[in-house]
Amino acid sequence: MEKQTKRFIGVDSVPRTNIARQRRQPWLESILAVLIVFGAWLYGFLNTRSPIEPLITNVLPGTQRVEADGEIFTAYNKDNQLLGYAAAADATGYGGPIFLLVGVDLQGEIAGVQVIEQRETPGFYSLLSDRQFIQGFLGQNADQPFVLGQDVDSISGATLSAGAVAQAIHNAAQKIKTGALESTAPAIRFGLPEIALLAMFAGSLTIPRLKNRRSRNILYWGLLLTSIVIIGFMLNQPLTLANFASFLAGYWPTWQDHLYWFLMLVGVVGLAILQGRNIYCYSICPFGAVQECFGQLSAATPYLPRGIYRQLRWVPRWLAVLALALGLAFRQPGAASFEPFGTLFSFSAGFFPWMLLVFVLFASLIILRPFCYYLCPVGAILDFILFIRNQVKKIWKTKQNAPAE
Amino acid sequence: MENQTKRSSGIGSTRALQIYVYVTAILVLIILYSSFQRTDSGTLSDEIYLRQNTVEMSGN
Repeated sequence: MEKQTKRFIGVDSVPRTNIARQRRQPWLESILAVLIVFGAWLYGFLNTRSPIEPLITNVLPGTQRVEADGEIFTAYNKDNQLLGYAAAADATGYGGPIFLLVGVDLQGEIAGVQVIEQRETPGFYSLLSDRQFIQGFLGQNADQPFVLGQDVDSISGATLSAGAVAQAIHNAAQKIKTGALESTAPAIRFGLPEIALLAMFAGSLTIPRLKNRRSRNILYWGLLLTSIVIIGFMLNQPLTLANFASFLAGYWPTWQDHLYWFLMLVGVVGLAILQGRNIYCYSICPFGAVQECFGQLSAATPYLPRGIYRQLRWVPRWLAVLALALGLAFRQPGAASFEPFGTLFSFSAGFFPWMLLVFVLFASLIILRPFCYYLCPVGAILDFILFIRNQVKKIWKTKQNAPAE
Repeated sequence: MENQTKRSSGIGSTRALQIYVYVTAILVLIILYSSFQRTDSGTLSDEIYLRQNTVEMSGN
């Protein structure tokens, strides 16, 4: 009897507090994470850009006096003679916006360009600097549309960044030419990247509906290999932390020529909310696919030891919070992206990203998808979205099932 | 004895996993630090591109 009472106390009282704590903990940590990210967002928001006017002399040398008319600046020399016009504009590349000041002389040619701010992914932006991309615009007629591949040469491996620079210069030139504050909308671009992505979404949704195991495997591996080739090596545009940071910072590219960006972000998050599961990491992420291929070479299996796994799962979550907070506070979404995706698919990075990549790929031979389970910030963010989705659904269901008073 | 060996190898592999995750996390922190240090310049005033004959045209 005494034993029974002890067992009763042991079963009923102690675990109940543990269970309550276990239930409360994810909520407390989620609230803390949201507060940190929001605080960082606010800090970044309050840090305003530097005024443009003093910079006009940099793009139109000899400027002594500047007259501002909305977003257009008219420059005069010391003899009060008209020198030219200047305007600033931005466009969003892969990891963030590129904000440029453009000076146009009286002949209508681009006389100078200053990069006021750029929040592009460092690896991509350095490709533009290395190839002297901006210098190619100098002396050109500002009236041109600057279409990549037609009016200006593209930069392979940094197409979106090059496109953003061309778009920003065009936008600034348009402001000067028409005096309009809004630039003309670019043409809608819908091609192979968008079609491939939509097909991959459809394929991922089909996998669990297939009853035949062999068909499931064929489709799964087909998706993984397509992802490596198209999303990885051809486009180098997997979903990264930079996408989420850009979205939260309000750095949204024009939808007409960045449909892929919107499809990827809205598609993955939307399907997670609708389906209640993360389809991206499983079958669309090209880096996950590469790890899966490495794992196949040595028949690696997931290694998720009880206790330790729960403890280590917080590493990617807090790394994601930290990187997101830094990206938002300094308004540099591109720099927040620490994943080794770009290193692998564009073969360009510094020493430490290469080291991280080697570490991850080597570990992939021993355990399956080590980056996905223990480091990936995208997986952590999608887990968080699913957690909120499931909790809201649970509360909604409880309310629905509650007896009417 | 066999159980003991299995348990110790299990402890060894979880320890190895812990070390691996913490080392890669430190690498990530270094990457983040160097990324933000490289671009944390706000206004990049040194990035000015001018057409070569602009100075002569301005008459200065």
